[in-house]
Amino acid sequence: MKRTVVVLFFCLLPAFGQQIKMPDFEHLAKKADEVVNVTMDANLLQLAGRFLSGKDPDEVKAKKLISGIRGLYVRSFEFKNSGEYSKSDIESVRSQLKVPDWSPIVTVRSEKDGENVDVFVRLANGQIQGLFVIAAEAKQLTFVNIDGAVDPDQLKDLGGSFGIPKLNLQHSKKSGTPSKDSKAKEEDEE
Amino acid sequence: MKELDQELREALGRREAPSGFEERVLARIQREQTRAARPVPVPWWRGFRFPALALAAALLLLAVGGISVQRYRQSQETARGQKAREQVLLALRITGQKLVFARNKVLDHTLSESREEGR
Repeated sequence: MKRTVVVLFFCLLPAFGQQIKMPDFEHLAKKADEVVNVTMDANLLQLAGRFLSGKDPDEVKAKKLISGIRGLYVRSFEFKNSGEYSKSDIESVRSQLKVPDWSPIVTVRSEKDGENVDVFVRLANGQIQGLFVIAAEAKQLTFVNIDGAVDPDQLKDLGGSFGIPKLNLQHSKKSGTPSKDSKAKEEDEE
Repeated sequence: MKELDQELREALGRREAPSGFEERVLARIQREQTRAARPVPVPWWRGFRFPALALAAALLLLAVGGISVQRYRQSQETARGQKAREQVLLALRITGQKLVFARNKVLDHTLSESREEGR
C-alpha cells in the first residue's frame, strides 16, 4: 500500500502559549528496555548552560540553542519487541497539538514499515516558539517538546554534532547504501 | 563567798567527754582538711581570662563553619549543574536524531514518488 505523506506549510498564527502536557508513560516505562525521561524547565536549562563547555564545539552549539528556550522535554522508550505501545499512547499527546497555535509541518504515515513521524511548530510573531516531534518507530517511541525560541538553523546544525549523522541527500537510506533511485537511473542510462 | 566558790568549782569542774567525742572531732578535722586541699572547679567559660580571646575563638568557629557550609552547597550545585548539562546534551542528541529520522522519511517518500512517476 502507498505511503501517504502530507507536508503542510505553516502559516502565521497568533500564539496562545498553550503548554503541552507530557505524560510520564509509566506503563510504557515498565515494558521498555531503555527509557529516557528529560524534563528541564528554564531554571534547569540556565543551570546547564553555566556548565556547558565554551570550548567543545558540540557544547557551544548546545549552549547557543538552549539560550532562547524555556523548556526541554523528552520521553523516549526503546522496546525489545515491536507492538509494545498503542495508538492511544500517541494520541494522548497528539490530540493536544490539534489546536490553532500548533501547526504540523511534517506528517508521515508509513504502512510499509509502520513508522510514523509528526513534527509540529508553534509560531508567534513569525518566529518558531515551540517544536514538537513524535517519532513512532517499530521498537521505539519518542516525544520531544521544545518550548521557546527555536532557530531552525541551529536545529539543522545538530546534524554532525552529538554523534548524529549529517543528512546526505544521496544516501537517503539509513544503512548508508546508495539510494535505489540513483541505481535505477544508472540502469536506465545503460 | 564560800558558796560562790563552791558553785564555780562545780561549774568549771572537769567533766568526762561523751563517748565518741574524740573520734567525731578528729573526723571533722579530717573532713575540713580534705575540703581545703580539693581544688574548686572553675566553669569552662571562666577559663578565658581575656574576653577578646574568647570572642576571637567564637568568630573563628563561625567562619570555619560558614566556609564548610558554603563548600558543601557549592559541591551540591556543581553536581546538579553537571547532571543538567548531561541531560541537555542527551535531549538535544535525541532531538537531532529524530529530526534526521523525519527528514529521511520525507525524502524516502519523495524519492519513491519520483520513481513511480518515472515509470
